[in-house]
Order: sequence, then structure tokens, then C-alpha cells
Amino acid sequence: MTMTSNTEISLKNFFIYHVSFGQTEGHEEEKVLYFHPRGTKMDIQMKEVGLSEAIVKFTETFSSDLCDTLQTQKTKKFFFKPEENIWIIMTVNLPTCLVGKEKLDGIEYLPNEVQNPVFLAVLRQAYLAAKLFLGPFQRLIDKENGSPDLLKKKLDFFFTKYLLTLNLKKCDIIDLFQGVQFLPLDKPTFLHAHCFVNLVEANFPVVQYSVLLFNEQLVWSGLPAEDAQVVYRYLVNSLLPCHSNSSPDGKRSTAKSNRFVTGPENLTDINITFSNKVPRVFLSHVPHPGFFNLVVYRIHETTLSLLIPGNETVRLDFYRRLDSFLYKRLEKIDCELNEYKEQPSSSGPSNASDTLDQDIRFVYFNSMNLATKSILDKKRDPGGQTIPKELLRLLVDVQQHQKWLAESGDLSNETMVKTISDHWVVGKMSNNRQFYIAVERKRANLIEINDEVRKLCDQQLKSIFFHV
Amino acid sequence: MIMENVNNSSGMNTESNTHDVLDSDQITNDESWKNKSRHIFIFSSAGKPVYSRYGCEDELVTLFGVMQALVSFVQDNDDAIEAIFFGNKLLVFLIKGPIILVAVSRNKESVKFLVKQLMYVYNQVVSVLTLTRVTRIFEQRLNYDLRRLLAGSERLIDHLLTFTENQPEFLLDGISCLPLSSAVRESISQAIISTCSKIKNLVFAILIANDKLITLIHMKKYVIKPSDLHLIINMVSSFESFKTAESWTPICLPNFDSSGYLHGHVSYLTEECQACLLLLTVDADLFHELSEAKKKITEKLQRNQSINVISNVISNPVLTMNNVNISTVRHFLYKCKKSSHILAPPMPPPYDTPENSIELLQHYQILHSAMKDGSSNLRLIFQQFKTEVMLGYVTEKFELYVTLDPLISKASSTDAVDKLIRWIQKEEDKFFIPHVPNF
Repeated sequence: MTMTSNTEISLKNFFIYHVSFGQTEGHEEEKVLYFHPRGTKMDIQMKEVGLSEAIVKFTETFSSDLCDTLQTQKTKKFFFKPEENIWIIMTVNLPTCLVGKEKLDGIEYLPNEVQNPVFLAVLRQAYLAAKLFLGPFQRLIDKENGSPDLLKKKLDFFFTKYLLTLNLKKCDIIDLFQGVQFLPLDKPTFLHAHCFVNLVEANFPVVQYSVLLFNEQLVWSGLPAEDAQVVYRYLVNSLLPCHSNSSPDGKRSTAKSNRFVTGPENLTDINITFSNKVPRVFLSHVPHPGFFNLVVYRIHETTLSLLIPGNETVRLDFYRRLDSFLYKRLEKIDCELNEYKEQPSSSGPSNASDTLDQDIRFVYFNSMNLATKSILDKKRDPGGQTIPKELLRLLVDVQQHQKWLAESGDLSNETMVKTISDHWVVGKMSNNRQFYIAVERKRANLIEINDEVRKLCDQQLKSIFFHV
Repeated sequence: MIMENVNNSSGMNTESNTHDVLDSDQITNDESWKNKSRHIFIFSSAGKPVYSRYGCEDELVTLFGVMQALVSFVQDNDDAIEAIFFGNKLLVFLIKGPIILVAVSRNKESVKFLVKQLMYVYNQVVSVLTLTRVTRIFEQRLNYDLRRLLAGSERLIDHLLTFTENQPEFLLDGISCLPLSSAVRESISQAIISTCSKIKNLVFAILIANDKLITLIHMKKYVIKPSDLHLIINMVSSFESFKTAESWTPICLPNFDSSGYLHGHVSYLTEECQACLLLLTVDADLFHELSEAKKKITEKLQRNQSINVISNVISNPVLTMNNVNISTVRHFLYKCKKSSHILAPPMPPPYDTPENSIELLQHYQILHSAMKDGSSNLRLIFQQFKTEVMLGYVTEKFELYVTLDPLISKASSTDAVDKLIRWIQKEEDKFFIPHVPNF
């Protein structure tokens, strides 16, 4: 095939296999639990699985560290072993560009543009998202007395949709962290929100965990950080965007029917018990891992998610009581949060950006509570330009560089770099906190950039530690 | 099918018998073998072992078979295997026609760095055999055991690998010059030129001491690349025997002409002056003429006293960090881009122990790789380490990597680097050879 233009990264395949299945000759295809694209010939599926198994076995010769990436001239294959005997593999076609005079000399593959850690994080996130709905894969096989058929069906159903939403071109340092954006608050506002959640849990003892969001920011979560992260991403990326799209009169609607994002469509039909109308999600890091019903209730910009053990039947009566309890109280919280947001003194990414120079962007990540804070994706002025891809990649480079230094003993360190196109990136890492700053400024020197970074740290990292 | 090949090792290589497989299992299960910081393997596209840095090749037949299977499996899909990442470890393949090289590293190097190292090893093989010969052998017999022809050269490869891991010259693709005033260097070059200008087919005359270049004279139009010069230096320092007798040795310089040999007259100037003169020609019958030339050159150098100057510089290094005398600067590496000559002072305390010097070199390597091997090329890097601050700086003219005191401020660090650059530029004539003369 001759190519006539530059190409971008694309998904070549995505598959899941079980090492201990299909051990006997002629039954190897039983290893495959899922394979995308659907309809791939069995012998190609077997070659892909065979190569993956061979690579994993080969690297074991040298180390017990698991293989994570295979780079060939044209592709990169990412490996992830989420559970014993189960591997998920994602292969991407590398982007290409035309080279030579008049771009006729052929094509060059660009492995450096596909940064391994970013796509390994994307792969891991894909598994966590699947596990949120399916539970651990092996658990489902065990429940079916060792038969993978139900798991295969569920994987097919889940990933066929999920892979459509993967936008590999847009993956960057934000995907690497997969973090949670916290809403920075002053103490009284935060305490009001916290008291409100406690009150709900006290009045409805069946509720085991609660998560409170304001827009896309987390106000309070009773879940362990790892579970909170997965639930948060599901709410923010899938559930809430779908819900606001489906409400005809936009955000400010408070019609009863719309307040339950998941739950009954109306509260009057007495003949129905709505126990399976809500999504069931698997929590892995709570003391008793298992499925929970996820009831999501929203007023204006504030969303309360309640997790109720999966073996409890949630009846219409419960929703009615919940609605009458929550309606006024949550509206009040929503008001408070809005008022706080409007205050000029409050900080937070939306407000802080006003005082930031236009050429500065940053990402903050705390690996203890998985908190992120960032101003990255777009320039704050609407007509402004998006961040150059080169700079986004450099942020990942610097992050990986520092991560490696930290692993080899330099626990807290600082890196400042300047590219040939006059972009600066500064990385600071200490106590599990990572802060990356990008500055696009011509003819600046080390000392000026250092001063900017110091200012930014004072400005941005004061209030955020409140949650740590 | 690859799965079968790998799981069923006895079927991997038709010539390996049960005994081989058993031995192979033993060594690859050995923890000290597994934990070597960098493995290097060479084998043919038929899977025949050629070289293993650690462990005897015959004990690794299965492993070579697996590697060959992986290479050909990916090739069958019209693709080429390049690298495998596992944890902080990296495995890199370099496929050069019938020869395949593999590096396994635990030091978190970049793919580029390991490919370069493998390329050096490949060039060393070509340097011994020439590419023409390698190609012909495998065209005639795909299953040929190349070790028969490389017997005795393992030592060159081992020595070259140590060089690539311990010397900044490899990292920076440069050559260190023995510090001499430009007048002395000029008189040495003249002594060689005046003696050799009449000798036909003499391509290069090279004088080195302590792995550093004193002078290089070349035939018009022919230049020598640093990586070829590294092979020459590697050869000289690998064989003590050059010190005792003048030698006549074939050497192929892969970047100069990979198809054929040059013939080298190799000898040390005198017993007292440990500088090695290499006269490289395309004419296989020139030994006696070159031997005569060497005697004359030595006489001329003795007469104009340069030989004493060289001996002095060899025993009393003139470049130390004390001479540089900028208190916050602990050490540095500098490369002049035009000449590819580099300046790398001996490492002062606390870096003068083997362990610490390797660690500092690794820091330079981290810095270098961050600047060159990432997704974008950098102009500057400031890196704080636990024990020092390091700064890398690349301009049109030079590359500079500086080690500074650990608690230095950014303002003082840029001041110190400015001072250092001025000092180097003042002393430039002594440390670099600006114009390489020709015959």
C-alpha cells in the first residue's frame, strides 16, 4: 500500500486472552476472550496472541518485570496483565510522515510521538472501566463454573462501545494521571457539604458510600481513592454528559423526573420496584468488594451519588423519601457552592486562570489522593491557540524523566528544560506531588522562568493542600 | 507458528540436541547471569550464535533460537521488531542483513543509545571481516557459523563495549585530543607530512596517545568519522602486542569503505614515548616503505624535541579541574560540533573512584538522552540531582554538560557556565585541532 499523506495514530487491534485456556492442541482459539476488530480471521487472532505470549515468555528470561511494550517499525503493542493469567493487549499503528524532497522518498514511522506511558495508562483505564461494570474477569468465569462464555458476551458488549469512544490522537499527560479534579473550598463551605453528606448517610443507613460533585469537580468522596477515581471518571465522562444532553431544557431544569440521573423515570407508579433500573458498579478497594447500586441525584450543577450494596432491593418508596429529603437540602448546597465560586477571593482552576499569564499552562498531580489540577487543554481566551503537541509530549517526557529519577533515589527533584522552539517546561516532584509547568515565551532565561514558577507555586498550590 | 517454537524448545533448532537444551536452561536460570547490567548478543538470521557477552554461546542455543524466531515472525508480517520494554528494562534489536544484534539493558537507556551501541558492535564485526565478506559467506551458506572467522575478535568486541560504557567520547560521538600548543602540534604534523607526502596510496596517518588524538593527516577528499576512529583506538588499546613490535594489520573502516580493508602499519614511537603511529594504506605491499617512513618521522620528532613534549603531557596531564579553577564547577564535558573534538577533564574528587565516575557518567548520559532522545530536541536542561546540579546546553557551535555544586542557585549556575565557556574558548587551540591537515 502506498501512502500519499501523513497519517495519525490509529487502533490496530485490542484483545484479551486467558493464558490457561486452550492449552490442548487444536483448541488454542479458546484462549481469546475478546478480539477487536470483530470478524478478524481466527488465524490472525492466534498469531497475535501467539506473538504476545512469546514476547512475555522471552522477557521472563531476563527479569520478572512484566513486559509492557513491544515496538516494531510500524506498530506499538501495549501489554497489561490485570489479573492472574489474563492479558489485555492494545496494538496501535504508529503515525507516519512523508519524507524527502517533495515528500516522495517514502514514509517515516514516528515512534516517539506515541509515548508508551500514556497509552499504558489508557489501556489500564480501559480495564478499570470494564471492571467497574463486569467485576473482576476471573470472578465471572468462576461464577459460571469455569465457563468464559458469559464473560465473553459481556466483554463484547462493553468494549465494542467503549473502544468507539477512545480517541487515541487526543491522549496526553492528563490520561497518564487519570486523576480526579478536586474543588478547592474554604473551610465553612467544605464543612457544610461534608455535614450534608453525613446527614444523608445517617438518614438512609442503606447508603454505604457517597460522592458529591460540583460540575466536574469532586467536593467529597467517602470511597477509597482508587475506586473514587474510577467512579468519578464514569460520572464525569459518560453518565453526566449523557444526562445533560437528554434534558431538553438544559442544566437549570429541576423537574422531578430529571433529578434522578439514575433511578425511576417518575415517582408515581406504585407497581414497579426499580431495583435494576440503576447501574451496578463493582468497587474493588472497599473492605467488602462487590457490586453496588449507583443512585445519582442531581440539582443544577451539584450531583450526589449514593452507593447501595448490590443485594439490597431499592424500592420506589425509597426514591420518594430520598427525593423529599434531598430536594431542598441539595439545592441549598448547590447555592452555597455557586456563591463560593463567584467570590473573587476563591481560587480554583476556573478563577486562577484569570490571574495567570496567557503563555503559562500547568498540570498538578498528587499520587496519594490522585488529585489533579490543570490548565492545559485550551488557552483561556476563546480565540487563542491550543497547546502545541510538541509541548504536550515534552510534559510527559519530563514527567517520566523525573519519575525515573525518583525511582532511582532522587525522591524530590527539579528539572527545567528549554526546547529549540523556545518552549520551557519545568517539573517539580516531591512527596508524591508532581507539578509540571509549560511556558511559551521567546527569549526568556532560566532565572526569569524560575521566578514565574515560584509565583505560580505560591498562587496555585496553597489552597489545594487543604484536601490532602 | 511461533507459539509452538517457543514452548517447545527442542524443536527450535534442528542442530541442538538434548544436552544443549539442558545447559541452556541452567545458565539462563542463573541469577548472576540474569542480573548483568547489559547483555549483548549477536547471531545470524538463521539463528546461529555468533557472540554473547556473558555465558558461552553454545549454552544459549535455545535463547538465540527464540530471538531469531521473534525476528522472523515479525518480518513475516512485513514489519521489523525494534524494542521490548519491561519494567525499567529495555531490549533492543538491530537487524543488519544476515546479522542480528540484541542488547538487553537494566539501566533505562533510550532505544537510540542502545541501537548506537549495537551499531558499534556491528561495525567492529565488519571491521574485522568487511561487509563484502560477511555478505558473501551468508549468501553461500545461510547456516554458516561466523565464529570460525571471528575467533580472537571477541576481545575487540568486549573491549569496545567497555569503551562505549565508560567513555564520554562514545556518548558525545567525539574524539579527545591530547592537549598541545598549536605550534607543537603543527611541527608534529609537518614532520609526518614532509616524510609521507611522496608515498602513494597512503590514506591516513594517525598519531594517538592515551586514547587521545595527537594529530591526523588525511589524503585529500577523504575524511574519517569519529566512530571509525573509535574502532582504531579500540584496536590499539586492545592489543598490548603493538607495544612490543611494529605490526602490519588489515582493518576495515565501515564508514570509510565497508567493502574492503585498509592495511595499517602500527607502531609506538619509542619505548619511552607511548604514542602510537598508524599509517593506513590501500596498498598491501607497502609495509617496508612505511616502516622506513616511521623511522624518519621518529627521528624528526626527536630532533625538534616534540617527542619529549608528548611524553611529558602523557605523564603530567595539563587539563585538570584545578586548571579550570571555577569553584562551583566540579566537572564538565564539551564538544566542538564542527570538529567533533571533545574536552573531558579527568574526574576530580569525589568522582575519582571507579564507582563514582561511572555514576557521574551515567548522569551525563541521562542529561544527554533527555536533550536528544526525547520527543523534542532541547536547547537547555537544568537538572537537580541528590549529589549535584547538572546543566546541559546546546548551541550551533557546541554541546556543553556541566556538573555543579548541589545547592547552587540558578543565577550562580548560569554565571559559572558563562565563565566556563569563556575559559574553554580562550584555550581552544590547545584542546582542539581546528584544521585537519592533508598530505
